[in-house]
Amino acid sequence: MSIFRWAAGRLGAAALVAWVVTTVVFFALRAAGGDPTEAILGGPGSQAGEDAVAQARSDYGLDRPLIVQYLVQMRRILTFQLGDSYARKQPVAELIGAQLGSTMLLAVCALALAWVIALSVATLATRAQGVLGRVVSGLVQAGEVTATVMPHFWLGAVLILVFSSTLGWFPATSVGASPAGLVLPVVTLAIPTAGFLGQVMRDGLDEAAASPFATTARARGASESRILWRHSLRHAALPAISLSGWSFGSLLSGAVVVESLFGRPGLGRLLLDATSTRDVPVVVGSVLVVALTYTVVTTMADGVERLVDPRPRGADRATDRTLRAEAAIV
Amino acid sequence: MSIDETLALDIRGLRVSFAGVGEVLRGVDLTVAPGECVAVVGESGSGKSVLVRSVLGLASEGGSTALVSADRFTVGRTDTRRLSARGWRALRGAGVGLVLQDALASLDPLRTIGAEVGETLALRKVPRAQRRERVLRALEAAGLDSPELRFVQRPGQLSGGMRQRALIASALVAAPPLLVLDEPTTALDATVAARVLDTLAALRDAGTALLLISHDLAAVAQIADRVVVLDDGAVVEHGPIARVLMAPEHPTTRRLVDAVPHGPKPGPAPALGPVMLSARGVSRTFPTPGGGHVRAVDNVDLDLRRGEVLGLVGESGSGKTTLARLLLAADLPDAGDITLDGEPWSGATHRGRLGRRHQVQLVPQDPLASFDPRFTAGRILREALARGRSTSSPAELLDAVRLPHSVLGRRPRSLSGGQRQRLAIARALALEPDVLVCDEPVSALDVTVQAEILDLLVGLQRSRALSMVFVSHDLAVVRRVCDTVLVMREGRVVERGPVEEVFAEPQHPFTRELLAARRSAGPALRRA
Repeated sequence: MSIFRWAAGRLGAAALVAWVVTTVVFFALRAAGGDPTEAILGGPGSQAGEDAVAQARSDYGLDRPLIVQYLVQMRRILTFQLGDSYARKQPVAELIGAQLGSTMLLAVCALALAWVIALSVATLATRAQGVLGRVVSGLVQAGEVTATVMPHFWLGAVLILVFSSTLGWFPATSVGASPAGLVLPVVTLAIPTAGFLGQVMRDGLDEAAASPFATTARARGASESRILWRHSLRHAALPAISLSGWSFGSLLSGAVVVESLFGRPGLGRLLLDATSTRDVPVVVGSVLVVALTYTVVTTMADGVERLVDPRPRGADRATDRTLRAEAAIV
Repeated sequence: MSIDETLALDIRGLRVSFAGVGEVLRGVDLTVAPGECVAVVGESGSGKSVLVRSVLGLASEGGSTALVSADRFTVGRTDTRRLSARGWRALRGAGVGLVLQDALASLDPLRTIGAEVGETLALRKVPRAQRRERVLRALEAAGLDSPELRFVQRPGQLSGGMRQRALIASALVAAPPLLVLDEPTTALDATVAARVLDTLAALRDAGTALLLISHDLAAVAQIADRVVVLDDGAVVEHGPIARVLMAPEHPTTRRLVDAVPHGPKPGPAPALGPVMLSARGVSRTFPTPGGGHVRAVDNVDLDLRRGEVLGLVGESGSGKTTLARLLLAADLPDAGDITLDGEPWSGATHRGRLGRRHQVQLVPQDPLASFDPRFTAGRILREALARGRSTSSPAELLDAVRLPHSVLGRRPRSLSGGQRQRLAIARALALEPDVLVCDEPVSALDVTVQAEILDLLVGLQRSRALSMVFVSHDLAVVRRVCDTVLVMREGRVVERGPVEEVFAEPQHPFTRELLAARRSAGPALRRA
């Protein structure tokens, strides 16, 4: 497949994702009840009079049928206008722009840390041999599963309790852009991701070490550590890379929790606040930006995967088709 | 005992055991001299693979620790019994090289041929420029054309034969005096295998000692000087290849020799009925990466009569499997027409075919992949019976394929390769088909098991007046089972006729080449 067809396919997929996500969010927010006019007039529990409410409704077009409101929203998106926030009366693009950097920093640092943890644990665990090896591998596996299932809010609370309240090593809230304030939120986000990346990598390393090409390398006189670094690691990294794109999505959703837990500014906080006040333009805008970011990241993961695995695509797919056809007739 | 310096490999009383498994090798004696090729033959489970790994000091590979002891175990001048892990690593590659079966899995698919072949040298700190020079020479010595191109290619870009040659190059790049070859030609087409064996013979003549492991006597007969027969971890017979093949003494050896498919199909010619399956002008084209097209099947005509076994022979990529899939209607032709029992088959609607699917059944090469691993054998057969109108029971099907009733409660993974193939045949028979399409049904099996399955298929053909399409790259197997044969090349049928006629007087040069590749399988086997 040519690079152009690949790029066109990706762009098409991104557009489709953006459309589906904004549509779902738009209708879900309206179905959840609540009145957006309250956001316009100062938030839930607003004391505005009926005249003011009616005025706001017609000013913002909220008195028109829902489908018309939806089409208006879509037309805005198509012309790259995200509109103004109901509550803050600021352009949505400005609001998101101010918060995006903070969230991206958090998510990218968490993904990087998750890779460092997963790689170190997986490579160290495969080096232990014999009875020790079985014990280590059992412990590591238990640790990975535990890490994977830990909820962010619980993990974050524990980390604050230990490293902030008791030991006082790191601040529990992020003030300004201090690097120390970034530590606990990043660790909170990274640990569950590291758990499952580690499992994938360890499986990949074990599989590669047991493969005939590893036997061939041993027969050439290669040591186990050379086989690990020169052969197995690339094979183990491939599935972890493609999963990293996917896990970036869960990092962004985890950021919603972590940002409010640590009092960090960011897209997550913005989204959370906007949802509770039914600030439709902000919610739709943020979700759109998150979805597009996710598409960009998965595309990047795909590109990196192609760099690591230079084999031409297509052959495997043809085999898959054959196998499926065979399975169908048997 | 002193070290005999004239031997490349000298093993006396080798014992290898694993905790929980017991002794796998029980006092094996084995010597190989420079310029000699010694073959070790035996069935699966005889201890061949453990022997291969032990010679390289890799018996513990795969997790469970092996206990290795020997009265004598020297590779060249090195007494390996006192070797440290580091000493073994220095010996591997430079003192002894290894060539495994399946070269696709045995070369790292992510690395270039140059990096893979040069690894032995890189480990020994040979400077890069010199390394490239030596890798190119090794590729050439292994019989690869345009070595500069191969140097930058990856295993997936090479054909099976070229990959096997690259693997041989990777074993001989540091010029070890001893090469261990584990089934080096089993995965290859007959003509390609013959050429690879020629290359190995040239290495042997140049003074390299070869230790060749195989389950196939016909394959080793071509280049081995001596043969060692292994059974249940012990040497049961050894001697010059011609003597062992002509006058085998031990029952295991006799079984191995008898199992090598040779000679014409036994028994009378079948009584042929009307035409069951017929193809006229059938073609199938596939797009290739890069925008081109390949004609996998090109304008093929064939007629399969009731009670006839039709062989489809050719090398990988000749279109025989595609044609088999068209006959199964698993795939449809772009041009031409296939009829079943006189009625449209490829031309029928999907719904129209559905009611007649049971008439044509598949026996696959790898039955394990075609079973649901959670199903027991009994459930696999009951499901198949439920789809047909047959009144037979799973037990009767097992009798038909000569499997004990005890397998009913077992899952496919716990069955042996031969038992799985019998189960696949039983499943196909459950629908009482008129035609069986067998796609390389025995190519993954040991020779002795292969012979049993072939006998079973011929028996079924006779007792049930079954028609069969038998796809194979192995001419000896085809001659043993088929009544007529189509020789395919690049999608076209280049020769067709009754099997014995084609074998006696091949018309097409390609058929002659195929036959020559098989005939060179040793003078002893030609007598049959």
